[in-house]
Amino acid sequence: MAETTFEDFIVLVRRSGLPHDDVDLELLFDGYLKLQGMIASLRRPSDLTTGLAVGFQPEPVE
Amino acid sequence: MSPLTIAEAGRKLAAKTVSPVELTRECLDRIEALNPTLAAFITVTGERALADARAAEERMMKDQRRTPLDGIPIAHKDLFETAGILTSAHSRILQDNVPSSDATVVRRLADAGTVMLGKLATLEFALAGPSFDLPWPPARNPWNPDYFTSGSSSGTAAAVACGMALGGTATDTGGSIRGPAAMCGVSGIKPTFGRCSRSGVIPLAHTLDHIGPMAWTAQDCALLLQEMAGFDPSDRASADVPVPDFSGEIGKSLRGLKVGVVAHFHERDNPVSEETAVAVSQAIEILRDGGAVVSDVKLSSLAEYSSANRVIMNAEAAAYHEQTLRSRFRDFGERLRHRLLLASFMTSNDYIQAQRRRRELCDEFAQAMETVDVLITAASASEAPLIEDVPFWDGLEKPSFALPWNLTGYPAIAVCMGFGPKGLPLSVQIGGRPFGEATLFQVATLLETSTPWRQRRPVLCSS
Repeated sequence: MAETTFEDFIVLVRRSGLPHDDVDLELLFDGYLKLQGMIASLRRPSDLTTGLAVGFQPEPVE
Repeated sequence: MSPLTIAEAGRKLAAKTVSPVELTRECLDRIEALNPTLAAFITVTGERALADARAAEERMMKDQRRTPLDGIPIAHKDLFETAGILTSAHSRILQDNVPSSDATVVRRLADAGTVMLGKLATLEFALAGPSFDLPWPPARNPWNPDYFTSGSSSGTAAAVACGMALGGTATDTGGSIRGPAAMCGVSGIKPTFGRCSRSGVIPLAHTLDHIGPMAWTAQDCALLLQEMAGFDPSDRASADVPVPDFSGEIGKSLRGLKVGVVAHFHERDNPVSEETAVAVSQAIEILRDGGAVVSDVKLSSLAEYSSANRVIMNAEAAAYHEQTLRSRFRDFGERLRHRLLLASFMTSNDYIQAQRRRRELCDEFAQAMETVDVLITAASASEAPLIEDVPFWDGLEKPSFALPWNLTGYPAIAVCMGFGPKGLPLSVQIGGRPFGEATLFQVATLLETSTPWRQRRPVLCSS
């Protein structure tokens, strides 16, 4: 995946619709890269074993 | 006079050689003298405290003390709702927020007979700081006020370290009990997920938030947790499990206890200072001398645990604050509004991938804990930093020793294990099995009673 540039990031901020007056965008971009680094390290291969939010088990039959 | 521990005060109260009113006045005097420097308290409830103390004194004189905590002065982190008393989350957003009821844990501690001294500083909404643009300043380290307390239970740690309160409540989503405990040289436990009710506590991240106590010693934490713990149907995460005698294992031999050392956490993944490495080694030797069997344990890297925790925590925090961020953006402090804005750029995919990695890490952690009773590693890499030097993105920088235990929900305690060259505390962390807090108190108390560190208080205490 191509690395986000500062210019891409400015577009992301503006399109988000979130307030960003009085925000230091360079500082925010620095944090964004740190967080994106963490996110990139968490990408998992597709499988059916780690995505379960609930784990219902059938009641044992007497 | 050096502040008493909760256990010491309890013995004196039981023997009627000290009164709850005397204890409370001592704390209030220390608050008056030290809070202008340390900013540990946001709100001091002096009249309420003295009323609580007089009621406890009446019970004491009639030999009707309710619990070992009856008459003990404590304070609450300002995330815990308190009926009729400001609950601010250390934020301008809630600077007029006066709840109509107590958080479950606040109510339980009041029912136990504790004296409420007031409400304690935190990082803004427990997430970002230290901040100097909020209605209240950040708490400062009692060992040297130029230094950071760590966060977010910063006021609780500072207040306990210098005896402004004998104990206090705290929360831990990403190390917010164990970090400040380590930096301020006190004991703090993050119990098992579900052990203490979160009902009435302002959330940070709902799948990672834990409630726990902080005090001068592990034994005092056990006494506090005894009254805080228990099932509460109003918290969906509350665990309906028995509450054991948390002090019951203290003083018993460690013979045969299996201790796992996660050496790569503090040697390679986030290398600690030379002094902290020595402190960890000394702690391991004390446990070995006490009869424990020590072995190495290998887990995924600290960075992987940290990344999963931080992505989930920031995403859940952004969801909680979404509406307020849009409507009152400038009422947040600079650090928190930047953090929440940043967190808002994460996608649902990012959150889902982090939860899936969490599942894998939890499985790995559970497997490791089948082979040992406790794990040991550092609680922090070194002494506290200068408060002015805390990075803007503190919390997104180096991997944190605390986070594997938030991610998995397993319990962990921080224990003071000496002092560094700047005269600031060093600390180790002991992690246990689910609902195995009593073992943590046993191990932590052995470390505290085998070393001289619990005899030393901040110089400010005696000035």
